[in-house]
Amino acid sequence: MKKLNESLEVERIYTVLEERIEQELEERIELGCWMYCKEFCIMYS
Amino acid sequence: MNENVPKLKDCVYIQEFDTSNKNKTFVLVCENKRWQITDYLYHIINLIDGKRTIENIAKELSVILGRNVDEKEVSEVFEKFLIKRGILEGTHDTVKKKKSSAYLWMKIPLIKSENIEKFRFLSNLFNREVVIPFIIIGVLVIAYSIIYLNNKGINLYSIITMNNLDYISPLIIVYISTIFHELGHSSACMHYNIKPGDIGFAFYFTYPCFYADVSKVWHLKRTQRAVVDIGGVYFQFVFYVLMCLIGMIIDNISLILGALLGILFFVGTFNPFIKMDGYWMLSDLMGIPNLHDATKKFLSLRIRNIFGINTEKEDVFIRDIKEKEKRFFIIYVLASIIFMTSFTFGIANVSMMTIAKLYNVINAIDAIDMNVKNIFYTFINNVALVVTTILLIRIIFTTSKALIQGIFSFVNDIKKSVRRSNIEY
Repeated sequence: MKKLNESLEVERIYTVLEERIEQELEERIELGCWMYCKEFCIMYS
Repeated sequence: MNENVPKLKDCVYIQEFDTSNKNKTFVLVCENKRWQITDYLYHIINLIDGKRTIENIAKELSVILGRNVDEKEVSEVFEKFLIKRGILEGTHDTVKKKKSSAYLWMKIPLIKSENIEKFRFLSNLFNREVVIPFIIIGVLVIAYSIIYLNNKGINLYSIITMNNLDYISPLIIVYISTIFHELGHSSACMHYNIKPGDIGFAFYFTYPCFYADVSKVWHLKRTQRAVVDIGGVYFQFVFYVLMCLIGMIIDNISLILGALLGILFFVGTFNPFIKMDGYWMLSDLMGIPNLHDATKKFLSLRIRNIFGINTEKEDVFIRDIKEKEKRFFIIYVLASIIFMTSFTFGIANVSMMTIAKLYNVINAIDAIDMNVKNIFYTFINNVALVVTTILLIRIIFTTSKALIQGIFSFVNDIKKSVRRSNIEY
C-alpha cells in the first residue's frame, strides 16, 4: 500500500512540474520593411 | 533572500492576459521580461508577501486548489521558475533572454521612447470619430488621384511597367512613409495609455527596415492589440493621402506615384508568416501568443506523437486553446509549411544567383585597370547578394543546430518514457 502511495506521489509532482506553467512572451517588434518595394520593382521592371 | 520567507522584487506585477486559452492565464512582468503564467503559478506568486514561509504558502495553496500541496512541491516551483528567472529579492535571471528574431540584426535606435511621447497628440487619430471620416475621405482622395493621373495619360498599369530610374523618387516617398508607419504603432500604444518603446533602424534578413518596439501591448485586450498592429498601415495610409493631395496641388506626379505604389505594398505587410503586421494581427486575433513558437511546438509534438511518444503534459498553452481558435491555428500551421517550403526554395534560388554573380565579380577583377567604373557597379550590385550568402550559411547553421537539438530531445523523450514506465511498474 505504501508503495502505491509513493508512486502516486511521484506522478502528482511530475504532473505539476513537467507541465509548462510559464512561457516567456516574445519581444514585440513591429517592422516597417521595404523588402516588398524592392521585390516589386525587380519583378516588374 | 531568506529562503523560508521569500519576497518578490518591487518591480514584479501580474495582470490578466487576454488569450484564447480555455483557462485563465496571466502576464507576469519583471523588469523588461514578460511571461504568460497559469493560474497555478499566479496563486503561488500572489501568496508571496514577504511574511509567509514556504510552508505557509503550501498550506494556503492547498486550500485554494482543494488538494494537498506540500512544501516540497512549492519549493520545486520556486527553484524551477521564481529563483531561476530572478523574480524574488536577492536572485537574478539566469536564463538567456529570448531573441525577438534571429533574423533581425544590427538594431540601431533612432527615436527614444521619451521623444516619441512628444507625438502623443497623434494618438487622437485613433479616436472613433476621426478614423471613419479619415478612411472615407482618404479612399475618395486616392480614387480622385487615379483619375487625375489618367487625365495626364498615366494609368495604373504604367506604374508597374516603369523602369528602375522612374522608381527612384516614388520609392523615396515609400521609404519616408515607413517612419510614419512606425509612429502609427507607437501612437496606437499611447492611445491605450501604453508607453511606447524605441523606434529604430535594423535589417530583417538582408532588407533594411524601421522597427517600433511595442512589447508592452501584451497587457492590452486582443482587439486593442490588433488595433496597435494595424496602426502602422493606418498612419501610412494617412501619409499617402496627404502626398496625393500635395501632389495634385503642386502638380507633382512623383508624389502621387509614390503614394499609389506604397498602397500596393500594403499587401505584403499582411503576410502572416514573417514577423510583420499580419503576423502580430493574426496572433492577437487568434489569441495565441508566440505564434511562431507555438507552430514549431505543435509540429514537434505531432511528429513525436507519430513515434508513439506521449506528449500530453508537455505544453498546456497549446493543449488548452479554445476549439474555434485551434481550428484556425491548424490551418495556419498547414499554410506555414507551404510558405516555408516555397521560401526555402526561394532562398536556394537566390543563393544560386549569388554564386553566379560572384563568379562574374571574379571575372571583372581581371579587367580592373580597363574599366574601374564597371568594377564599382559590380561591387554595388553584389553587396546585397554577399550578405544573402552569409545569411544562408547562418540559416544552415541554425537548422543543423535545431536538428541536433531535436535528436537529443528525442533521445531524452525515450529515456523519460522508459523511466516513467519503470516507476509505474
